[in-house]
Amino acid sequence: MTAEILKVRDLSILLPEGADRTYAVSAANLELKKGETLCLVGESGSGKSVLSQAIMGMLPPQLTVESGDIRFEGDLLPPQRSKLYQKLRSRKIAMIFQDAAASLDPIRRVGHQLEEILLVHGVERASERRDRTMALLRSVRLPDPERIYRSYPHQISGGQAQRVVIAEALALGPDVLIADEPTTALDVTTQAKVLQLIVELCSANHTAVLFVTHDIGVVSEIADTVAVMCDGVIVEVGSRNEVLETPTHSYTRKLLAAVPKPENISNAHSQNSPILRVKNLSRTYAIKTGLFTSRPLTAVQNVSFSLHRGETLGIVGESGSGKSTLARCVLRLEDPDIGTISFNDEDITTVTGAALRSVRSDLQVVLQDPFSALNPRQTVGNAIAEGPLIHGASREEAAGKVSDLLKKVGLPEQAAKRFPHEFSGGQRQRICIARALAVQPKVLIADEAVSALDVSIQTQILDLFRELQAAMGFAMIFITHDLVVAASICDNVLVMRNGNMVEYGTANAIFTRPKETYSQELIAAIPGGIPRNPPTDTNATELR
Amino acid sequence: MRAHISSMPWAVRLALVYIVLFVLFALFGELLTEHGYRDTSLLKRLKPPEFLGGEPGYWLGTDEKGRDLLARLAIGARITLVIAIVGTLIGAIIGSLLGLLAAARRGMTEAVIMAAVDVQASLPIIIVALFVLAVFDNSFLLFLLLIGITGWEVYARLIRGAALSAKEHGFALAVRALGASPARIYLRHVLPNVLNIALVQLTINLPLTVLLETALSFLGLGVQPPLTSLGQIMSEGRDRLLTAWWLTMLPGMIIFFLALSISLTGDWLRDRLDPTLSRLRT
Amino acid sequence: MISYIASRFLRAIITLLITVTIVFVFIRLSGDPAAALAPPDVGQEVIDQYRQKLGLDQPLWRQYTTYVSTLATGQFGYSIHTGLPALQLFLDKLPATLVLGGTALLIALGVGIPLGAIAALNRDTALDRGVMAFSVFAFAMPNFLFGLAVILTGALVFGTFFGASGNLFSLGTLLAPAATLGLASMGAFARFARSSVLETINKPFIIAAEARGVPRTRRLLRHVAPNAAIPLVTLLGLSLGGLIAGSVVTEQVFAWPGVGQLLVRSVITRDIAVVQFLVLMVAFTMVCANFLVDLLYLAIDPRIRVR
Repeated sequence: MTAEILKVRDLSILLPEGADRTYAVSAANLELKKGETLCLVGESGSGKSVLSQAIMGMLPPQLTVESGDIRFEGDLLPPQRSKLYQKLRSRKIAMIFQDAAASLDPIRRVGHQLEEILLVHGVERASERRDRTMALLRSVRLPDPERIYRSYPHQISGGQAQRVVIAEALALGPDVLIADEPTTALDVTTQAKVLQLIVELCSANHTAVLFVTHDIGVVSEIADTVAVMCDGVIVEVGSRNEVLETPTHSYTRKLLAAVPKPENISNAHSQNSPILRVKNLSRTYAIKTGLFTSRPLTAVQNVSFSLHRGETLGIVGESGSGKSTLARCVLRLEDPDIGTISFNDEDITTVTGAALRSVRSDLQVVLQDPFSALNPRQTVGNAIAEGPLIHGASREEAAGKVSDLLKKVGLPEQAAKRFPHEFSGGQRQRICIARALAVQPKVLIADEAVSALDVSIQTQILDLFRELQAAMGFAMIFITHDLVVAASICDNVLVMRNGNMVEYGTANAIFTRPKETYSQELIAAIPGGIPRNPPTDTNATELR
Repeated sequence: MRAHISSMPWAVRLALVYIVLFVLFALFGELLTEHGYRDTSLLKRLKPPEFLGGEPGYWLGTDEKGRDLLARLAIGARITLVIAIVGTLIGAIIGSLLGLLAAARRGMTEAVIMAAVDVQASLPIIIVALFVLAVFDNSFLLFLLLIGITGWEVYARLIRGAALSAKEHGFALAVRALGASPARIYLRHVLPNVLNIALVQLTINLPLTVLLETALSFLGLGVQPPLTSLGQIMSEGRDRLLTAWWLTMLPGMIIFFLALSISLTGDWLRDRLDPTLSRLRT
Repeated sequence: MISYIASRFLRAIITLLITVTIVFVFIRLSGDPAAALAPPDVGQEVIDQYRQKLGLDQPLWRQYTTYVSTLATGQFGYSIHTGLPALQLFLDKLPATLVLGGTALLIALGVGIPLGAIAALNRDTALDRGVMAFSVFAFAMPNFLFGLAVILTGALVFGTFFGASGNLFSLGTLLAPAATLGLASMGAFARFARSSVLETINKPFIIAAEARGVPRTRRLLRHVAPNAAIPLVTLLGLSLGGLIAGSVVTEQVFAWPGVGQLLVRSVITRDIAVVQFLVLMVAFTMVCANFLVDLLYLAIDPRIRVR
């Protein structure tokens, strides 16, 4: 008997006609040994999820296996979607999905959903099901398992839901766990804990893990073996060190190079007077709790910072930390309750009318989702020209700006006549950048502007930001939940949590010697750590 | 556009052909016969259609006053068409504007508009129409207005929802950050993006308007003689259902196929325009 | 949960009040309400009495409060033609309408929902297309045409009258008018059930249940069905409006002695007291139904019940 528990041999899966390529997966070979963790790495559309679906016997009917086979402990697995698979799932092979909350039935109690799995796999006695369910909930270290048992999915947090789903998957002690981007939707600190949990539980039960991810950091943290997938083809397989240290395939090298790395940053900007100064800014929302009652929710509390010409400030925090609200206040899209915002030493906190309009051309924004950020019914040229036209440019001037900016962001001039839906996510983000820069802003706020993009595109856009900043000299506020991205582009960093400022200082200081516990936690939670230790800058000055 | 036609299912093509034929019939149908729609002829009462052995010159037969059914159907179709189109547009415009207003102004304006929507939603339009017709004297204009308000609350609700979400859409935010005025944001960016929804609703509402007009006229509470509409012709022929079935069944079938054709076209249009559906498909 | 119920209740009350107000305004616009509401064939002094009783010599806001309180104490006026109280006329006709509407709703639900679910489970097959075609047919078919066609067929083919004759509450009499009335709702339910099931069946939690080895039948019954039913509850409230509207026409076609027929007759004879009362009853029924639908949500959707 071989040590491989799962073996994929020459597997080719056909895409339906009219797709952008013929095969979703093409001639894939993969071996998973008992108890090992194999990371399957690739960008979106690489076919990694299709491959894991095929192993689960859950290929959508539009996709067909053209050739090859999948063996489990040496035996051929049943055909796709066969009833015979039912007995294998959960018992032999289990799977967890990216969006844990969505993979729980919203109208049934969490505990009952776990018990159902035991029931359909033949645990007859109700009391036994309940006991085992409670034990499972405890084993994934959920706080107050009694309460979780009784809760409906909407009553538990995303991290808790992912733990419940892990408990579901491990309920019958499977030999193989397929984890499809299980931590992608989670905050970085939660992600670290969930990753650790998966690793611990699986090694304790000798469960082999096929971990599907796009995140090289996660790979370096947990993988024994790495398989790299690109356009349906597995281009490279090897041990973690082989693949990460001495990659042989050009795509792997490209992928590794695309991981943003900290730059050697000088702090020359702080000499001149700040272009933007935010002082004691607070913003509170009223959350409706009942018909006439509401409670205040402090989104941003007492935040101060300053931004110099040419500087990039990173605002870093997990979801709900108030970083986007802060951005909207600075942009004057929302009014702060307390605090002042001054631009070029002029208080703009309450300006209206023409004064506000002129401030608008100085402060610009690039948003996270490049798909909703462009009006689908406006040509790219009109979208870019709109800003200059609003601010009084003539049609000819605006048209000149459009072709100039398209060139600057690396798009062909003909793009002006086309509509947004004809462009990819990365290209759209370039268009959004061009639109923002068309009014020659002094400050550009990028609100999670690269978060929705694939790794390799991310790097291209980050490079573009750097180039344009060098050429045009604007200051930048870079809002992100991704510390690795922040480390790669920011001069200074402001860490936020629950609306409060946790730490504010140079990027070097924060990433190498974080002072506050929360910053330390955040940095420790980065899967694989910050790639390649940032060079220490002895002259780093504290700003706070 | 050529791609659109070639991808059209045959049922939708047939539906479009029927709609065109119906409109042509409504506009020029009376030219098919030499009889006026109000010309009575007591000697030629209740003649069946010509192909069933009726009176020569009366293709589709005659009613109890000896009037040419073909001529009456043509005029009836015209009135039904006018009421349906004008009525649908009135509702669509009033409803959409109120919806847009609610989304733009929020606060008290929104509360009042939405309360009115709630009230309208709890009263079937036919009941409202019956009440108003009981209280006021029936006139063509009043009837047109009544048909017109059909479904305004659906437009208001849909457009408000769509406008609110479009307002939160990245592009509206980005354009605001560029310094665009609220009018520019609403008219240039929000409105064009919610128009699709109004257009689709229009195709759902149009057959409902046709059905409401014909139903009320059928009850004798809509279009009043000497004017006529398809429903009014049915109403007159109802008592002779068993002896002169063509008087009810012919206008009935015309109405049914019209409503069917518009719905089929509307469904097809909705599938094409609805971005959420196309996302599901890929 | 309490605040959910309270807010829905408040909304229902406000809706009703606005309706009452609109009815008041329209009647005031139409002419002398005393003449309209007083029993028929009475002298001027009785009408004057009514005028005083109704407070028509009072300022408008006074009249309005009086109107509302009169309604609240259950005085709904008298029919001009029969002299009977509007309430009594309504109650006389109510059973026939309730039986007709109830049967129609049962037919619509009992046939429409299974049809839609079957279509969804056999997506893109001939069966699916057939159900969808039926639902478009049902939507576009005017119920007066369908009813007349049914009567015509009955007379020509079966030699019987498919209308109200003999025992109203026997299945044979009920079936044709109830099917006619329920047709449109049936199509709507089929269509809505189909799209609801289709949407639910592709949800991640259904796929996850499959990955856990939950058999298909159990997935469909325990997970898809209850989740797909939630949006259908909304349609239940909406279809009631359709049934009320449809019953007006259907009762007319089948000579069904119900509230709809009473309403049409009262409108034609301009029996304002009766029309006014019936309109208020429709509004009341709809508001109650929508409130019940909101409560039903509470029962079946824990996301509203527990926060």
